[in-house]
Amino acid sequence: MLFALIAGSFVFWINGANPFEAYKEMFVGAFGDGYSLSETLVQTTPLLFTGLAVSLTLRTLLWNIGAEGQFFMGAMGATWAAQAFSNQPPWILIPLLMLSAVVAGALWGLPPAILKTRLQVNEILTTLLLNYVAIFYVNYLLYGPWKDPRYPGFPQTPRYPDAALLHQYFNTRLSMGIIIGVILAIVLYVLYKKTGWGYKIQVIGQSRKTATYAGIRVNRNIVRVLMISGAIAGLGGMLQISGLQHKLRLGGISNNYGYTGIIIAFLANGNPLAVIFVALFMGALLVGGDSLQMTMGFGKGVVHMFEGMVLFFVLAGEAFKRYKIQWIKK
Amino acid sequence: MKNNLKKFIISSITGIFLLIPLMQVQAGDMAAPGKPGDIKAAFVLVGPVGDGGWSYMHNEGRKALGKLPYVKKTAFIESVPEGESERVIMEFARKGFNLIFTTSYGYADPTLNVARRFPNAVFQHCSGFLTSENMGNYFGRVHDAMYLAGMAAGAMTESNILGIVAAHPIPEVIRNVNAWALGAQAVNPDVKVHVVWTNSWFDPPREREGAESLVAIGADVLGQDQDSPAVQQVAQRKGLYSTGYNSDMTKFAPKAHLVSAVWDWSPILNSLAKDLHEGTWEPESIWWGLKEGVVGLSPFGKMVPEDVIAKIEAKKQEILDGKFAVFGGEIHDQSGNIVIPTGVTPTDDELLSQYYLVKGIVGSLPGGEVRYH
Repeated sequence: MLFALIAGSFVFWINGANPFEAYKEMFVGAFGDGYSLSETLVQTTPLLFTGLAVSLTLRTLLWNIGAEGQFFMGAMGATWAAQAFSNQPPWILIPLLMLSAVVAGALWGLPPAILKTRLQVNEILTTLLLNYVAIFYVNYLLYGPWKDPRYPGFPQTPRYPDAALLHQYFNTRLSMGIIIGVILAIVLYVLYKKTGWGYKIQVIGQSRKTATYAGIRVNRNIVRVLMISGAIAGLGGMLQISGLQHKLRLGGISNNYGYTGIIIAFLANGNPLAVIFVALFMGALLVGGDSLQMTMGFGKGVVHMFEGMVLFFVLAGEAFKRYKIQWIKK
Repeated sequence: MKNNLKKFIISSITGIFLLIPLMQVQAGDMAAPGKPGDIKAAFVLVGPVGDGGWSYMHNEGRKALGKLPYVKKTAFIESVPEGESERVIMEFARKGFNLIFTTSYGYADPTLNVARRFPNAVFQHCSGFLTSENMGNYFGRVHDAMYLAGMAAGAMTESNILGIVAAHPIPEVIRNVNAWALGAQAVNPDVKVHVVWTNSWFDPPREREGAESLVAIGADVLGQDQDSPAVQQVAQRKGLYSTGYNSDMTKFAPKAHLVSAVWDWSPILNSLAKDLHEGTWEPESIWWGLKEGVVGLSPFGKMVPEDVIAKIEAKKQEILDGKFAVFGGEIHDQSGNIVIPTGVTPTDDELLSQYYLVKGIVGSLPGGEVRYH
């Protein structure tokens, strides 16, 4: 982490800025006052869900690269429900949106699960490729049947009915999504630590043969894990639209949250509670990074370079940490 | 050890929850306004400032704006996706910028949302149509310049097949495509114009693919309504001709580039800043053109013959004198229906909602039936 910051300073320095000032600017941008903090949490919310989705599969040593697509499908499912039941009151409509998003996300996790368990097809490939299917399908809807007739030719749906929007607290843009995410993380933590199911999926992850030998239904659990993972990402998609964007539009669904989720899950080592903090860190990096652009006049490239540098060092540090631990054990 | 970690994590989570109520802090006007009349201008850009086209020209406008004595500071943020724009615009307003330019069609609603929260800042949305008490919009009659560029394309084609790579099928872009085709037809009635939509403002690989697909069907002069010069580079590589958009794109394709329809945002930006400085700013829809110098033509390439240049310059003069309107009737749509009758010049509102392709264009608009000629 320290190395990351030093390397980051270097990036700022070669671009002709005082590194300390840059860090201060980033920190103030992300946590400087209540409102900045709320924006950081707004950015954290989708990352929390995709991070949790990936971390769940990571426990079973499966790689869900498809959180991006599941996030899109969740957003799509929610939008469908918002259009189909638009005249329902909020207390019916919002659960419907969530349900629809969860189902859509879970169904998007199903084909890779079936292919994995029946035909041993690598889930990394199938989940990744389904991302493109999901994104193109949503694009098709945006350009075609779901297009807002008020803006012909521009890819976006009409705004959600008011009953389908989540309340934004304290005049910020923060909605209940972050709370649901944190609760979900705690629930997952308890599931892993305290229930037989949590133990089972970990055994499957460590050795499939052992699991079979111990009488664990491996295939059934793999399907379950991938579907739940999809459902979590899908719910994240719904919360993003209903809580923040208020309509489906191109460039306004996922800012690569699904892929960032992979990094988050990896950094958190699959621990759902750690996911909360890593997601917060990534959210802050994003908000603080924009702040750098606005006040220090850096281009986007410099900011991306800095972010990449930080991630590289943090990941590398992680590897060193693990290596050391094993060394001592010997 | 493990328990300690758990305690730490749990207390941190409770900490976060306890912090949430503290966020009562309002996102409203907390920035102390500077001296009255002082201007801090910010630009939210959809592509990178190095795109060589749309965002580049806005950034050039920003630099020129910064030279005005009462403009104390300018800033920009580049490559902002539509979904992120609201946060970014809000952040600029919170930092005390009082003249904020949002320069992509998709930023319309986010700009309005932020404008409502910051009644003391002024917001200017480029290429949209929304206005509110403290939000105006601005754009230019770039279709006039596209028509003139289209004349060059029509004069230089040998295959009589032109191709144009265009971004989103929205009126702003459709007008340009139509004007380009009408300009080409004015000098060469046999010309057919093929259009490819990339559905993206800035996506060089996609723009390049679009251009290559047009070359594959025989187009020998390419045009564009895109933010990057990728189309020019394809023309250069294939030994064809091209007309550019946004900025003078000569340097990207010296052998191919005939002429570009270019923007110069300075007249609008400077006038808005002046109005704000003097306290006379009002929310308006600004739609300036050749006359004010907001749009124009780049220098012509060496391959364009003198007589073609003379013809184009003459037409430009006619537009400036108000003797000629690009969309003056009679204009037919793709299936030959008269959309603008003889002698009629469409109103600005009609132009701003133009949603058809003119006769001679091969291609379609989403939502409409596919029609070929």
